Amino acid sequence: VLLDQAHINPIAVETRAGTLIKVSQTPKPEPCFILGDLSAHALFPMAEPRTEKISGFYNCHGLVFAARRAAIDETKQIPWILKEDGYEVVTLDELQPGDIAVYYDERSNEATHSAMVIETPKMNLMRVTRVVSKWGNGREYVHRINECTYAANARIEYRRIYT
Amino acid sequence: MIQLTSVQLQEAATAYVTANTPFFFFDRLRNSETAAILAQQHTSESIFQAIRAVNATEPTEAERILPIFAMVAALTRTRTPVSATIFDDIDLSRYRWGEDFCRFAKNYANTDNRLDIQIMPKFSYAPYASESTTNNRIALSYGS
Repeated sequence: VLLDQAHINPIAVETRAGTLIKVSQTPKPEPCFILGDLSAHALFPMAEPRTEKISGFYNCHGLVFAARRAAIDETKQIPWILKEDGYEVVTLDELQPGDIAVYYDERSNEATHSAMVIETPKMNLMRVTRVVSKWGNGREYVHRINECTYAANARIEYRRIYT
Repeated sequence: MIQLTSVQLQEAATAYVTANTPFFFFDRLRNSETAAILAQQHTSESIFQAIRAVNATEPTEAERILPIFAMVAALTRTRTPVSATIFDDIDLSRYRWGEDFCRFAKNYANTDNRLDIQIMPKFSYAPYASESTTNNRIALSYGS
């Protein structure tokens, strides 16, 4: 498919229950995507880039659910990944570093973004959650939970695996 | 005729790079300045003709493909209303998320843009945003 030359299912990724997850990798992202990433960062300058270069090998869901090995593009898979991996909802008061945050678009209810919690509101003076996440095929960023393009019109759900 | 080079690439590239879903890509691009300017400065007919002309050349570089998406997004908010069926004549199936994009465009053609300011990343940045501690939702408060 043109536009990013993604390789579909180059490796096998499964849920804990053994269901195959459809993944992709884009080894050579288009050069103009660097511009896109820089521009996204310019909108949220307080976000700290965690990686130097953009990568098409994984996206935000790939960071959270596939250990940075591949991108999970079909977000319809996210609800059953959460279910089959055994993620349970946690409240903000119960939040711990290592929990995950999933952003749902309030209109389409799609999981538009996911992130890994690194600081809870109790851990900083700003009283906000801080996360590490990857912005699509761009770079990884450390940012406040609402300091990204995905936070507009989003419902955020925190989850944790207990066992 | 719209010159491809006149279509700003930056917002389209940002929308595409950061998108994890085709709807996100469409939504951000539709509410971008790029689409707004295209829709204001050109008629729906000239945008449609430009899409067909560029698409017919079967571009392979993102620099030429992304403007097509921007123009399709612009077509959903032109001052002169377009028939939703116009999107049936635009074939973006060669491109990733192309079919979904056209489907969304068809659904959103000529709907109002009152959510623009909330959706547009450029304006949705809320430096004074605070996080609600009473539930899992984000409460955005816009400072002056």
